[in-house]
Amino acid sequence: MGDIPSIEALKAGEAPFVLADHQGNVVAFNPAFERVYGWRPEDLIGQPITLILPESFRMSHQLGFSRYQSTEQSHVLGHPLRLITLCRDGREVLSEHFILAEKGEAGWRFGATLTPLPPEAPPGSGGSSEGAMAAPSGGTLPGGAEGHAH
Amino acid sequence: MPTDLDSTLVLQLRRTLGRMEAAMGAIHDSLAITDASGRLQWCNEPFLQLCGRNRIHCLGVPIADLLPRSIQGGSLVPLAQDGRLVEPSGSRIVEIRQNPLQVLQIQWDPIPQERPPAVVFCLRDISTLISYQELWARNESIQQRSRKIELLNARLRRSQKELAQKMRECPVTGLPNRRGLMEHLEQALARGEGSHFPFAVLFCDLNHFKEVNDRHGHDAGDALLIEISRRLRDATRQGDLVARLGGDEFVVVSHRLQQGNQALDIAERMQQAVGRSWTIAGEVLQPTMSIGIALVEGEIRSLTAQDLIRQADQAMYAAKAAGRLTGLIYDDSLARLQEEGNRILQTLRRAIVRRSLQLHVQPIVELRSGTILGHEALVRLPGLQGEPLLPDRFISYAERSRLIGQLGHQVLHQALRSLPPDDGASRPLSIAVNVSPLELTEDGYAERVLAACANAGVDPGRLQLEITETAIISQPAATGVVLQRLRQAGVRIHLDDFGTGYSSLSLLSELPVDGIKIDRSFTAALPQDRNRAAVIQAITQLCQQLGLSVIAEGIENEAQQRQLLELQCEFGQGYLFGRPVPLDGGRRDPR
Repeated sequence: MGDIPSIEALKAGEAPFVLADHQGNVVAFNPAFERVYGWRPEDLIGQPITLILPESFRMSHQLGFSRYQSTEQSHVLGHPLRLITLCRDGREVLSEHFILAEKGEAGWRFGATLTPLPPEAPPGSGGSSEGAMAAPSGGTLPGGAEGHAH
Repeated sequence: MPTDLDSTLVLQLRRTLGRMEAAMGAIHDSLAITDASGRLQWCNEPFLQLCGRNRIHCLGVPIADLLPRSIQGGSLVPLAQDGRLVEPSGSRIVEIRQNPLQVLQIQWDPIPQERPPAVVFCLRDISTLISYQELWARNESIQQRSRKIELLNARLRRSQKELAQKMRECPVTGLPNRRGLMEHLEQALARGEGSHFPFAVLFCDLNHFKEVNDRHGHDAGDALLIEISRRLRDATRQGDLVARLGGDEFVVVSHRLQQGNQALDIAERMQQAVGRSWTIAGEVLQPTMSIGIALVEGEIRSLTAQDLIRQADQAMYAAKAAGRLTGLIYDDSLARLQEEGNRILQTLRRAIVRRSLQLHVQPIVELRSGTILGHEALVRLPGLQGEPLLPDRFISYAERSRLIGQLGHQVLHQALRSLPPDDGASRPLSIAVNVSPLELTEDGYAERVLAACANAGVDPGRLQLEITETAIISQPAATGVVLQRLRQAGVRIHLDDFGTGYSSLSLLSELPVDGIKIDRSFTAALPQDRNRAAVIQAITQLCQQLGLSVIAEGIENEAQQRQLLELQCEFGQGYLFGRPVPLDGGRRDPR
């Protein structure tokens, strides 16, 4: 793996981007994110990041996120993950998430790019090219878990 | 906006949740939470290892699709067709692999406060426990098998012992068999028994046993053997051994005799016990035995158990040949007799095969006129040291070796062929043929005789069969049927050697005969012996009243002839009228 970029670098890019605070609430996202996934600031700012996750991922996200708060250990940060992202209109879009966590004076913050992928075998169906982006065993959850900062 | 207090609480809760989540990942049990439809919402690390997938691939997937299948191929959790659990809560134990064994205990419970309720699954690997139980069960099974094998071994040893016992025991009578007898004798000889007190081996052969078997079946034969066994045991002393060698042969070993001759007393006691009447199928039999005795007296180092049995056996045959009903003790002369017997038997076999038996005929006459009425056919065995042997030397061997049937057949054939054709002008000559009791009880004897008559072109009325009274009396039912059949066809039956047996005159009326032949011993006593004369007169008078003819044997002079006539005896034979003369083998007029 090469050098890990910073959240600021992700934010400066053109890919859809979301930023969350130490509580897992959305604090910002870029127009690309709004354009691709349909979410508007009034829908999402100040709301839990789990809003953009399918229902079946939310519990694991919360627990994984909480675990990161306690242990600061994660297996999902800093490498691409193939996950489902929930659009505002309820559509589920397969996306490549790249999540980073940074600790500042105000505590942890989490930034992620969410790049839509062509439709193919959804996560959980197995047998896709998921290998490299899958969460390591014993690790944290995708879709926001312990390092899912937006 | 959340307050600082809210934020603090959230952080605390997150830490708590994070710790709990980490703890859930550290335990060995597999934990999972699904929504009400069974789709996975959370699981710990052991669950992922159990499913063999990573977390991303598991979330949202029905738990039944994630878990391995049972070894029967079924789902580990009972699901309805819509994927929901059949039972809201429950537990089960499922085997998912056999080698090595892997067994899961699965428990699931709903979180009832939720609507619809999520479900918590706990899956515990109890393979070790099961393996231990299985090992324990296997060990128990092995121990059970071991105990079972031990039990079987014990039974086997017992069976072997019983079998060994049976190996020494006759299955019919329960007496020791040949093996048991031999061991007993060997032990007696090894102890040096006989050096202080004589001991005896009594070889007993039950007479006419074959006839009992043939006529009444083997069950009756076995019943007789059992009865004889009982009688022999009753007749012997405590400590004596009664064994059955097989067939109709028994052996008694009698120990600690006061003197050798005491064995004869024991033999007589046995004979008396055995000779009591025995009824089978309404027929009364009086069993008899021939008994040969081998004595061990003094120190005889070279004698073996086999020797003793052989000596007793030879003595028994000698007793049988002599018609003795008392025991006969073996001595060296018997061995010589045995050798001679063997030579006779060989010669007899050869003569039968070569059809070289010689037939002699002696005339039977009407005493008053001297007219020859017929002849008695007398067989001779040629080729033994020049002179042909008389029947009393070889018939017993023929009977013992079962050659008697062939011998009798050849004699009958020759005798019938010796008769001249019936010219119708004068009274046709008859021919008398001696018959062994063994022949009479052979299957189809009567038919063979009549067939021989037909073959020779001789009217059965010209044939006279001479039978000893013992033959009829010892087996009245069997011989009765045969004799009746022959008499119906015209064959005449005469009781031979009358007066030498055991029958009384009163029996004459009951016997299926046409006449009697008074034994030569009575004739020889004439004319001086008045008692014998009185007996002859009584016989002739009774026979006249019964319609039986009377032939006196052994008439050697005219005085005897005259007195017999005075005693109303009509017929006779003897040197006075002609010695036995040989036939040439072909048909010949014996006149």
